[in-house]
Amino acid sequence: MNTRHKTKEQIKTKVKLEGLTFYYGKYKAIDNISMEFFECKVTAIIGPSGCGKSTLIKAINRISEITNDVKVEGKVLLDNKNVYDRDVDLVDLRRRVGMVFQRPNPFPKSIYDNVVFGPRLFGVNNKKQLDEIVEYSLTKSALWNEVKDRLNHSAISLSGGQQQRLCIARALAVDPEVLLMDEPCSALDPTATARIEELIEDLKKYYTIAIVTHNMQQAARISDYTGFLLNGQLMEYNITTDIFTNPDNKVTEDYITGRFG
Amino acid sequence: MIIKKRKIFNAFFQGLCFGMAFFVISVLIAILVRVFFGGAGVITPGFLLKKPIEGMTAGGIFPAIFGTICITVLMIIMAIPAGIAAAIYLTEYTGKEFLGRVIRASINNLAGVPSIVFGLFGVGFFILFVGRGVDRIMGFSLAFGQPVMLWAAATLALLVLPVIIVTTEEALNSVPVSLREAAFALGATKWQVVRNVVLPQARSGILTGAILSISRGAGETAPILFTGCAYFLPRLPVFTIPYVHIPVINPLDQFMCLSYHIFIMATQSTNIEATRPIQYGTTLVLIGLTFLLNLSVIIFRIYFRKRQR
Repeated sequence: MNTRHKTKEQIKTKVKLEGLTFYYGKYKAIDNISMEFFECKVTAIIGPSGCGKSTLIKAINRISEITNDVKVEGKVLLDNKNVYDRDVDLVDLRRRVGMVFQRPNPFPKSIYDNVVFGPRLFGVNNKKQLDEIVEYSLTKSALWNEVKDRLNHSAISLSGGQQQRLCIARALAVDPEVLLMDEPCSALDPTATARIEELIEDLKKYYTIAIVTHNMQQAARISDYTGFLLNGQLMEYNITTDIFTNPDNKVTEDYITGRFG
Repeated sequence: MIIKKRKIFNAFFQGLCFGMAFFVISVLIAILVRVFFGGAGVITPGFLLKKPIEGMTAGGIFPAIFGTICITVLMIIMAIPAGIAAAIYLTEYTGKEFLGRVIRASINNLAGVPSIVFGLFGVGFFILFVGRGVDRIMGFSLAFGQPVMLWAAATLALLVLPVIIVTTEEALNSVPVSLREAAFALGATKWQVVRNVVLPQARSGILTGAILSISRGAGETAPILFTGCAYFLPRLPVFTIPYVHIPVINPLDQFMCLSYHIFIMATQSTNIEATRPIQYGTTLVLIGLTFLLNLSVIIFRIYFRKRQR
């Protein structure tokens, strides 16, 4: 397809933002951002609180517009198709672009029912097929061994870290192509965080992952690309090692070295 | 000096609140005690299971008990789906814009309409307009266009609708946004979110609405006065299905009702002395029955809450 990517170690663009500007009412949260998310790579978005990190990734699955009055300019291309086009089916978009939220938000149902929630929405009711999806998703989210004997227990009885992995399994169960993670470890302790990080490392073999994080060490550890956002603008976007060792921008360097933020 | 004044005022205010609360509770207790001691004596199995005789001065009140249960259940069956639907529409499909505000204001005003107005509306709308209309279209001589249990229950349902809508709306609003987001992010449609996430979460809140409306509706007299309640009926509003001989409640029949029974015995009886114990007994049964109906819904609610965990 794209010659540039073929020459450059076979990386393919999955999601591409073109001049994206995003308003909540009159407030401009994102200002003219253009960047790409690559297939089978982890892209981290870092920046101080309120800089528009979450808004940026939520613009991809259009989840903000459920609770907010939003206005969008520019394009978000998923496989070269603008998700803000009129003919886009939101249900299909959100199936293809899964999301894990800041706080674990399992449904107050059993572990099993949480995982099959998505497939059931799309009409999968075959018990055997659902069982397979549950085992597959929970295995992928590294939770299967811990919960396989108590799938009918309430999801609320799990620990915070387990709940977050369950939420990841729930997102994987509808077979997405892109996984958006909005500070998935911010409500977790260090051990649980480490497990999620390992998991992300593993999941990137199959998915395009965009992760928002407050934690710069985390971005450095798990991501391939990093974008630094400040006041709704993309200050710098590059390969993670370059951003952390040799940033182009003085502001980026100041933020990474902890002078502000 | 100033500190002392403040303290006195504080003590006075506390005393005032306590006094008021005490007053309210003692009135309630006085009523219950009076009714209990006045009515407990006449409550026998015969009183509960037989029909009135000798111009209501003797016998039991079974038809009124039966009628009250029928009409309350029928009212709930009609009011709950309509109320839930309205509340879902208000919370999920309208925001704070003009239409939502207008509907909310209307509901609040509806809650303040006197019950006798509902009764007259029931006659005008349900019996004369809907009922007669159905009769004409279907070619019946007189089936729907007269005061019957169906219209009495519908009128009561209208009366309790605001209660159900408001409590259901509160219950729906208390479902965390994070759960809605989670469902939307998995590709759920709005209806799927409501059906699979919001309603199951709001179930016990909705049942609270049912409890409040039973308490309100079961004891009402004015709305059923003209819409189907009878002074005295020699038979129960029951219809036997031919051939299979299964008796079912007939919503196209008139019925007797405890609240109306109390009203007529207190105002229309020629022998007040003879009916007084029966009045107390009937009142006690009405209070007890309302309590039992509520209890059954409360048990439902406990069951749902347990299952949620």
